Amino acid sequence: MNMHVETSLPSLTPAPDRKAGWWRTAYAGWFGSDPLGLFGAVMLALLILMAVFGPAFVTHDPIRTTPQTLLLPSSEHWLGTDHFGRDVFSRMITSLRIDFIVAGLGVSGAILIGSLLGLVCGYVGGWFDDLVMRFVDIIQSFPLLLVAMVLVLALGPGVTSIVIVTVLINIPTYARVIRGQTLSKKRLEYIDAARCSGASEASILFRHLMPNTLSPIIVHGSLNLAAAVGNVAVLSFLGIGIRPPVPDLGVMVAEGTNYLVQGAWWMSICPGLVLAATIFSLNLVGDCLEGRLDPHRSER
Amino acid sequence: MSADAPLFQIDGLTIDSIRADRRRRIVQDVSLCVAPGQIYGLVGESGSGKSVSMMASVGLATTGLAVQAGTVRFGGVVQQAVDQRGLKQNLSHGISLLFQNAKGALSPFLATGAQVGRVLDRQAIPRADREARISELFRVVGLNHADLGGKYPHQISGGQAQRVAMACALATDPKLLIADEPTTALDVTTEREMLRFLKRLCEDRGLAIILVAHNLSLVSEYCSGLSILHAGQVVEDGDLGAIFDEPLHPYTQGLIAAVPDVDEPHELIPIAGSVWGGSADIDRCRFSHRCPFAMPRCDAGIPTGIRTRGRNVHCVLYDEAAS
Amino acid sequence: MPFPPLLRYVLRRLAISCLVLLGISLIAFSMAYLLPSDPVTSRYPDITNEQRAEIRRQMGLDQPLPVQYARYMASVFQGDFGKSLGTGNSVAEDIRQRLPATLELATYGIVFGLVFGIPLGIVSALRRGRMTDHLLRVFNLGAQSIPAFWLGVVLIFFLYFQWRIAPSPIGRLSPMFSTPPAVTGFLTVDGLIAGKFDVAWAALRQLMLPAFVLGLGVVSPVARITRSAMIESLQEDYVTFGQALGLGFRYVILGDAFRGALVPIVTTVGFIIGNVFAGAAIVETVFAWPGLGRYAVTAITTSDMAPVCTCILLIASTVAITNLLVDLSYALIDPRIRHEYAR
Repeated sequence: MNMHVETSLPSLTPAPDRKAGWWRTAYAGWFGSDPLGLFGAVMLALLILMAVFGPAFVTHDPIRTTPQTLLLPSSEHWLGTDHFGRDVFSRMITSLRIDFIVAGLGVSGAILIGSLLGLVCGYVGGWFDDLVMRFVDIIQSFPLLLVAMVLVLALGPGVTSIVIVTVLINIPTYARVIRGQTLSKKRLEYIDAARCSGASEASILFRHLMPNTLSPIIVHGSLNLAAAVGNVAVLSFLGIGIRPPVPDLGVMVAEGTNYLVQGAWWMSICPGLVLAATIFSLNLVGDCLEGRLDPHRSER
Repeated sequence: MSADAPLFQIDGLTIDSIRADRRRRIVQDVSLCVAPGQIYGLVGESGSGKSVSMMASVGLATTGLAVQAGTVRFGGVVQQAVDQRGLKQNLSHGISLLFQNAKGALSPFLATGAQVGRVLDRQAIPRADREARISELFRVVGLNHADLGGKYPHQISGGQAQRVAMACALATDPKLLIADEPTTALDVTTEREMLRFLKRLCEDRGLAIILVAHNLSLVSEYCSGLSILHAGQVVEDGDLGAIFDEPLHPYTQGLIAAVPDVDEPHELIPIAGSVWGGSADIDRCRFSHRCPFAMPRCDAGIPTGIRTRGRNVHCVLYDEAAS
Repeated sequence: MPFPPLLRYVLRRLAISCLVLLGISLIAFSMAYLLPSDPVTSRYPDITNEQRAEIRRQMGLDQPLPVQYARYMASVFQGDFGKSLGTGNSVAEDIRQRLPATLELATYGIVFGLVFGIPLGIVSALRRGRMTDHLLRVFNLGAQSIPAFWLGVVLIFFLYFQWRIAPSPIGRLSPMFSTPPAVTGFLTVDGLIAGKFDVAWAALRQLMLPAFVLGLGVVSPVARITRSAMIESLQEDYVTFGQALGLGFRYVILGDAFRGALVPIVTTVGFIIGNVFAGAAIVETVFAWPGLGRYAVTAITTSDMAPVCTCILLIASTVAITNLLVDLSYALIDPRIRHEYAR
C-alpha cells in the first residue's frame, strides 16, 4: 500500500509522534485506524468470553425441563423461559458456545484441507491441478444448502456431521483462493532465490510460499466463520442439524416461532439477536482486515 | 515572455496528499503563465508534481489530494483552486486535456467516431452537420473517418488512438490544450510526428499548449516558455531561450548538463539523489540535499522567486544579486 | 464456416454445459441415494422381508447403482422424473405447481436487491472514504449479518402479530380471494391481466415481506461488488479523460465507469441467481410460501428421493444456464470481449 516515494534522507521527515501511546500504534497497525473494525473486534471478544466462561456461571440447567413454562423475562429468568420451562438466557449462552465450536472447527478444518489442496494444486499444476479444480467447479455449481442438508441427513444428524459438512462445503473456497495466491507468488524472485540457494521443494512450499498466503486465509477465515455460524443456524432452524434438546441458536428461534401467537417474543427474538450480533462482529472484523489487504478498498 | 494578457495563469498552487493519516505537500506554491497561442513546457522528474498540478488546475484532483491554496485564471476569470467543482467548468469551455495512455483514455465501449460524436453533442450542433463535423475532426488529426470511425479503441494503434483522443479534445473547440506526456507511450518516430502536428495546430488555430514532459531536450525543440519543477516546487521558469543559454538554478544546470548534444558532445553528468516526497510542515528548498552548492541558508525557508535575466529563479544563490 | 462466430461460441458453451449437467445428474443421483431411508419401507411400513425384497426387485432397487442411474436417466429423458412419496403426485406435476410461486418470489426479491444494491454501491464508490460511504458500509454489513429466517420471524411478529400492518403469513394469497386464471404464473401480474386489481394488490401484500427478506440478502453482495468494481473503474484513464472532455455524469459515470464495472457485477448477480434458491428455501419455510424451496426441504427431511434428485438437477441446470447467459452478456457489455469470443 505504500506507493508513495519514501524519503531518501531520514533527517528530512519529522520524527514520529512519540507521544502516541502503544494502543494507538496497535489500533493503527491492526485495524488500520478503522473504528468499525475495532468495534467488531471488541464485540467479538465479548461474545467469545461469554461463550467460554458463560456456561460456568449460568444459574439454570439449559436442558432440564421445569413446570414454569413461557415465563416473561424477570430478575429470576433474565430472558424468560421457554415452552419446556427452560431458562432462555442459560440456553442462549450454552448455544453460543456450541455454535462457536461447530463453526470454528468446521472452518478450521476447511482451511487446513482446502489450503493444502490449493497450495499443492498451484505449485504442482498439471493434470492434478486440472482434476481438483474441475471437481471444485462442479461442487460449487451445486446448491450448497441442499447439499449440506442431504449430507447431514446421510451422515446422521448431530454435531459431528454438521462439523464435517461445514468442512466439506468450505474446502472449495480455500482451495481456490490459495491456489490463486500460490500461482501468483511462485513466479516471484524470492522463490527463485530460494531455489537457487538449494532449498528443497518441500521447504519452498511450506517455508516460503505458505507464510505468504496467510493473510488472505485470515480474511476469508473471518468472513467464512460468519457465514458458517449462519449456516449452522439455518440448518438447525430447518430441523436438520443440531437437534433438540441440545441448545442451538437456530433451534431456539425455530422453537420460538410456534409461540409467537401467544406473545412469547423473547423465545425467538433474543437468541436471534445474539446470532445476528455474532455474525455482525465477525463480518466487521473480516471487512476491516479485507480493507487492510486490498489497496482498492483503502481510503487513501 | 508575453507582455499581452495571459490566457492561462496559475498562482500559488499548493496541494497536499493525504494518505493513511499522513499529509505530504506534493505541490508547493506553483505558478505559471501561458500566453495565447504559446507552447509552454512543464518539465520535471517523475513525482515532481507536474501532472498533479495540471490536473488540479482544471478541477480533476483525485481523491486523497487536498488542494490547499492557489488561484487559476483562465480567459479573464479568476477562480480559487480549492473550488475544484468550479474549475471543472473550464473543461468544456476552452480547456482540453491529452493523456499519456491514449488507448486507455478512450472509452473501450464506443467506436471512435461515436466518441468524438458524444463530445460534439455537448454543443448544440444540428443533426445534419454532426457527421460532417466528425469527419472534419478526423481529417484535422490526420485520420480517415470512413476507415476508423467504426473501430473500437482496442482495434487501432497507439498513435491512431492518440489522434482520436486529440479529435475528441478538439471537438470542445479549446483555446488551451494541456498535453500530459502525450507521446511517452509512442515510439520515437510517431513521437516526433505527433509533436510536429501539435505545433502545427498551435500555429493554425492559435491554440495554446502546455506540454508536460520529463524529457527536457524534447520540450526545448517545440516550446517558447518553460517551467522546471522539482519536488513540487518551481525551481526556474521563464523564457526557454534565456534558460537554455544560461541556466541559473543548480537543478536546471544539472538537467541541461545531462542532456546529450550531438553537435557539441560533452560529458553527461547525472544529478545525485532522487526527488523528495516531503511532509507538509517543512518549509525549505527541496533541492538542497542534492545540491552541490547547498548552504545553511537553504534550510531557512522556501526560496522566493527572483526575477533576473528573463526568468524567475528560486534559489538563495541569487538573493544578493537581486538586492 | 457454417455458423457466425458468436453462435459457434454459444453452441460450444451449450455442449459443455450439457456435459457438466450429465456429471451433475450423476452426483445428484448418488446424493439422493445417500439419503438414509429406504423408499420401500417408508411407503409400505408393514410388510415382511420377502415382500420387501419382491417390491425392491420390481422397482429395480436391487440393481447396482450404475444400472439404476441409467434407468433413471432414461426415464428423465422421457420427461418422467419419478413420483413423490410425500405428495403422491408425479414430481413433474409437483414442480409445475410450485415453480411459479418461487419464480415470483425470487424475481421480486432479486429486483429489489438490484434496485437498491447497485445505486448504493455507486454512491459508496463516488463518496469513497466519506461519511456516506462509512454509513452504507455499516448498513451493508448489517444487512448481510441478519439471519434471514430470524428477520422473517421478527417481521411477522411485529408487523403481523403486534401491529397488524402485514397480512398473515399464509402463502401467496389469502383464501378470501380466488386465484386469477394463470397466464404468467405471477399472481400479481395475472391479477392485473384479469382486471382484478384487489387480487393483484392482495397478492402483492402477501409478497412484500418475503420478497423484502429475500432481497435484503441480495442487496449487500450487490452493493459490495458494485462499490469495489466502480472504485476500480473510476480510476481508469477513460473516466478521467471523459471528465477532461467535460462530459457529464450520464456519460462518464453511468456510461463508461458503470459499464466498465458491469462485468464483475453481472458475474456476482449470476452467482446470486444461482444461490437465490437456498434463500428461497428459508424464506418459504418462514412465510409458508408454497414454493419449490419448501418442497425441496420437505423432500430432503422426509428422504423423498425423486423430488430431491429432480430439485438438485433443476437448480444445477439453472446455474449452468445462468452462467452461460452471464458469459454471453459480457459480449454485450464489452466490445473487447465480443471480439475475443468471435475469434
